[in-house]
Amino acid sequence: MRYLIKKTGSAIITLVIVSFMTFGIFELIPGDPVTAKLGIEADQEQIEALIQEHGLDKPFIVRYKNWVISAIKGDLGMSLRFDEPVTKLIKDRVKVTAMLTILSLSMTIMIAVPLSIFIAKYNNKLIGILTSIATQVGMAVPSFWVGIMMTYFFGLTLRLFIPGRYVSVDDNFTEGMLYLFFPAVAIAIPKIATVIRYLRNAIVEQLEANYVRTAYAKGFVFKGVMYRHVLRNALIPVITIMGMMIADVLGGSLIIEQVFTIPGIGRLLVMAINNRDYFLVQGMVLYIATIIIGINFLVDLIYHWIDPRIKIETL
Amino acid sequence: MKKILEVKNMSIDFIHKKTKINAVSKLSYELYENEVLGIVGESGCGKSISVMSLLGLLSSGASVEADHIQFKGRDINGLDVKALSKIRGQEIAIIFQEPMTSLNPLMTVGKQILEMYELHTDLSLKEALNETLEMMEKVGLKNVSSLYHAYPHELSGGMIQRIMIAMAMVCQPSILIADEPTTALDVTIQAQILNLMRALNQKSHTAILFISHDLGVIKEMCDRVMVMYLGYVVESGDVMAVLNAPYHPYTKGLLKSIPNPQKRHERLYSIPGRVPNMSDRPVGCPFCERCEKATEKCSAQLPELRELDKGHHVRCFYPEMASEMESL
Amino acid sequence: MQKKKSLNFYIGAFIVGALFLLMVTSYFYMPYSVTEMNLAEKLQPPSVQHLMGTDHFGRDIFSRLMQGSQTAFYVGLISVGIGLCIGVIIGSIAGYVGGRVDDVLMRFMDALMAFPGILFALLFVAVFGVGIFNTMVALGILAIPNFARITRSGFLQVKNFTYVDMARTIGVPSIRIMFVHILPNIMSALVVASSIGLASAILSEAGLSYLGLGVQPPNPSWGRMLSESQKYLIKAPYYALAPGVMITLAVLGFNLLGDGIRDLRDPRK
Repeated sequence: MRYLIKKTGSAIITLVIVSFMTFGIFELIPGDPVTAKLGIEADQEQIEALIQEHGLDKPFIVRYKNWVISAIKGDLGMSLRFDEPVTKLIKDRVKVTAMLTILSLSMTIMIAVPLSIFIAKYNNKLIGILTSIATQVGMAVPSFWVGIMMTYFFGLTLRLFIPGRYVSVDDNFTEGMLYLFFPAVAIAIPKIATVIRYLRNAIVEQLEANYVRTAYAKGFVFKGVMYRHVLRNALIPVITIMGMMIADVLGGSLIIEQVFTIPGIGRLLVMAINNRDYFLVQGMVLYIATIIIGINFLVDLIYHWIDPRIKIETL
Repeated sequence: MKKILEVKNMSIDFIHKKTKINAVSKLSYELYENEVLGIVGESGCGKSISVMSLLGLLSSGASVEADHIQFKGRDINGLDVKALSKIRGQEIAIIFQEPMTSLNPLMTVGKQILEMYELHTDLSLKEALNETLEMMEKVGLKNVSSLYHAYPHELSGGMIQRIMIAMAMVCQPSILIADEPTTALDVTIQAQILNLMRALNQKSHTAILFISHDLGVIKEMCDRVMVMYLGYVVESGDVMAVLNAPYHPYTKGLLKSIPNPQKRHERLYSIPGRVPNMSDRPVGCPFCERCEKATEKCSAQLPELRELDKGHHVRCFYPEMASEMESL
Repeated sequence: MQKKKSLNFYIGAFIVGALFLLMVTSYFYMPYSVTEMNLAEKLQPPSVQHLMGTDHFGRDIFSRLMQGSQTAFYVGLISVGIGLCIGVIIGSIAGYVGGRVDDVLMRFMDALMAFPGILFALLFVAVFGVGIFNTMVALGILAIPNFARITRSGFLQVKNFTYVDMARTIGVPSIRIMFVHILPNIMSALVVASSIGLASAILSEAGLSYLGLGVQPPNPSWGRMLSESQKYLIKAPYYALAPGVMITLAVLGFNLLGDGIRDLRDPRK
């Protein structure tokens, strides 16, 4: 319980700092913030309206407070370019990005965990070196390049999908999933390598532990020892990097959306930056950062749930 | 008495840095129903591995060879993992030395006992749960229903060792291997655990293979004892015979190095030198380098294990002499 | 065992060394000009004349890759340099002063780490505009928390040693003593973090430039080459292959180098 309160507190503090940075950084825009926000072609009337609307004549801290309060209420302001509420723009596109992230994350886990177990089971020097090479290369490959290569191979050569086109799962589920599958693989590959690197080492290390000998002495065979005892212990170091990995996957999908022309929040963000649509950028960054802080909070809870020893350490 | 285990000429080798190191050499012994057989020796003399090998619980670098390992009339030498896993826990159970690390840190202790029922019985979950709690009471634990949900780190070493014993006794095994079960415990707790094991041994007729480096504990617990040095049995026999009238200089040395409260202020005896590495084992008698009575013959030739009195074996060329020297 | 442990180091050093050589060479010599267009030879497949073929303006891809290595090293080194300097300063202050200051500074560092790297970089260029300078600053800021944490923990370890107290009592400024003792302690951790930081800076730069929000023309960039190549994927798939391999190699090299240094410094792991 104390753990929960402590973690909630620290998540809120982080959120405050992040929102402050996100809001504050726009104060640093070189030149006059109003013209910068509206562009130089804005006329006096528009400028006046903007100042009125956003209370730009008020002191920074008051504006920050108002921004946060309306953000909590679900109002992130209006997009200058699209003339629509930022929240609505995000809402329209977040589903695709969320699906992409979840898909590649589940792929990562479903491939990396059994593979790590397999590699750890047949552990020897040669396999160790080969795994090390494969994971190092896997971790170094830029996911967007993998995406481009996949576009060429699966899209242009094998014609499994049409590059440049996008089919929504709402229109055609199977085809829509296919259009999400390849980008998800591209994001997943470096992450699979990362998980294997951590998990394999952890499993090999755990297999040497005394409780494993106890489990064998009880009459378990490898499978039982692995799934009932070792895996849970070995997952702890993986869970500690899980929050960072989810953030990375989300960040990766922002870029991958560009490769596969997927209309998610990544493309919206790039568009917003290119259009100097500041309120949209600001709102989206806050939105994504909040989600990530939330996920990190959840990961902490899972960690706490899996490892009962933390209860004592944090008290 | 019925013989339940007979090990004949078991040797264990380890591969270390591409060289083969012999860790246990031509070990033979029997274990009878309901008896407690002690294995004693300094650390590194091969006592643990010589019993772990029965269940194939050695690390992958070890190889075990034996004429036979007859368990209840069946040769279990070289059985595959699957067949061995049917014996593990059910027929032969083990209690380990380090209680604090021997349980899975992320699983409640009750669940870890319960697993034994899941593995080896057809009981329903509810029945198994009741049995688990009953077992926990049998080994002297209190507040078992709340203790069931405790994690290993919340328990003391003595409590965990009770849990381990409960776990081991679930299937009423024919043999219980106890690998220095009380070494890591406080003296008072140690006595409790030993009493508990002794009581279980008498009640359920489980034979115990009791490994220890502590001759006092061995004397309390065991019916017979084997003294091991550098992978060889150097002396074996009835515990009273071996400890009261030892033949082998190593056994004598071990006995002399027990602190005696009656002889205060006297300098404590210790066997000269220290246990050499397995790889530097002498050609002849393994103990010759540390033996005060060793002759050239000792370092050139390995003495056979001979029966001197009935059931009392010793591996020494000069057993009587050693004994006489002592009585002077 | 010893041999295997330094394998990372040797491979990493070899790759980084080769790329470094390529980068240095590119300042003096490149097989073809990277500014002159030659539309007659556009999108040629690899050949003896053009090892990796030509791009959509008929420029030699290999020469452009060589030139791109300048940007990769430049952006990587400068941004890690920014992260290192500011990180060490912040970490020292947090570790030395402790208490409230430490809490506040490290909270900020945690918050900065909560951003996915690419998101912060995007926010930064959205405000300050695209270009090589802003890319370096954004990636530099991202690198700060890691260095700050390493430095801080180094300070915390040494702070309570008696010789620091001793030094203080005889009037030596304890901060000086601490630096003398702390720096060697954290040096290898900082070097490892720098090498791995270089890898991630190169990867992020490529990502940003791929989105068109990083390094801008005329500065060369592997990431931007990838985004250009995508338009000609049907005609010239090799065009997309080469820059990707270069990015992978650079990231791999610095990662391995970092891991290798760690292996050599800390034989326990």
